[in-house]
Amino acid sequence: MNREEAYGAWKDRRKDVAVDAAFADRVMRRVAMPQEPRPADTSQGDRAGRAWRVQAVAALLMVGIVVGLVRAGSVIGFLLLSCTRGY
Amino acid sequence: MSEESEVIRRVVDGEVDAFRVLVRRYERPVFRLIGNMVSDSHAREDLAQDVFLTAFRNLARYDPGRSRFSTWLLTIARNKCINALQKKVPAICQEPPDPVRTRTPYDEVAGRELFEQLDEALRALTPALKSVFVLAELMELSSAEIAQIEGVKVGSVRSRLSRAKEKLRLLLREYAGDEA
Repeated sequence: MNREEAYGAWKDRRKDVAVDAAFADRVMRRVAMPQEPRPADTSQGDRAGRAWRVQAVAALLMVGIVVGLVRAGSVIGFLLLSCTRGY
Repeated sequence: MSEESEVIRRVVDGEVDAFRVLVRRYERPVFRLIGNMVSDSHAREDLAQDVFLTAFRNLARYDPGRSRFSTWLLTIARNKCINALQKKVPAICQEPPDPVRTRTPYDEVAGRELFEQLDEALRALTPALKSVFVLAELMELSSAEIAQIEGVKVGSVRSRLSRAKEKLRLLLREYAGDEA
């Protein structure tokens, strides 16, 4: 057997794979099983938690600013009215 | 619509049993790839099952416009093999079947010895070289298909294949006193 023949014979041997006749049955059994629950993605939960906190702080700040502006406006208005009355 | 596309559509639509057609059609090429990439026989069976299970679960994402189903499936198989090799699945030598086309007792012994050396050389290849070699030489896929499976350019496939062959050729050169 020369080099090429030997290489060819080796390749033929490596190509020759035996497949168990019941392999498809085993796959189909696993396919039919309900999908195993995936491990919880905690990083996603952390991200969602952080986003929720940021939104809450932003909302509070907005409320604070609005209340502050309203109060400042009323004080300025009161002062302006008082001044006007004074004249 | 081809018969295979029709089967895929039925599976995606919920006809689970139709998936058996795809398993039967592609179990041999999947086993040929895994069998030549991973040496542990138990790991091979598990990997092959995982390949089909992954394909089943992601079948809705398969895009026939991008690749053939066989290419898509072999990409899953190749990636699982590479992952298994990187996790250092214990490599147990695949028992070689009876020698093929032997002529004389001398040839038989010499051939068997060479086969063992080539098996060893194949095992010793890096996962990237091994994968390209198996897809090209043992699965007989085109360079374009291998490039799609490997996610590299055709030129890289050719260069990896030539490096893999060179390593095996070194062993063959010593065989039969540089006969050829």
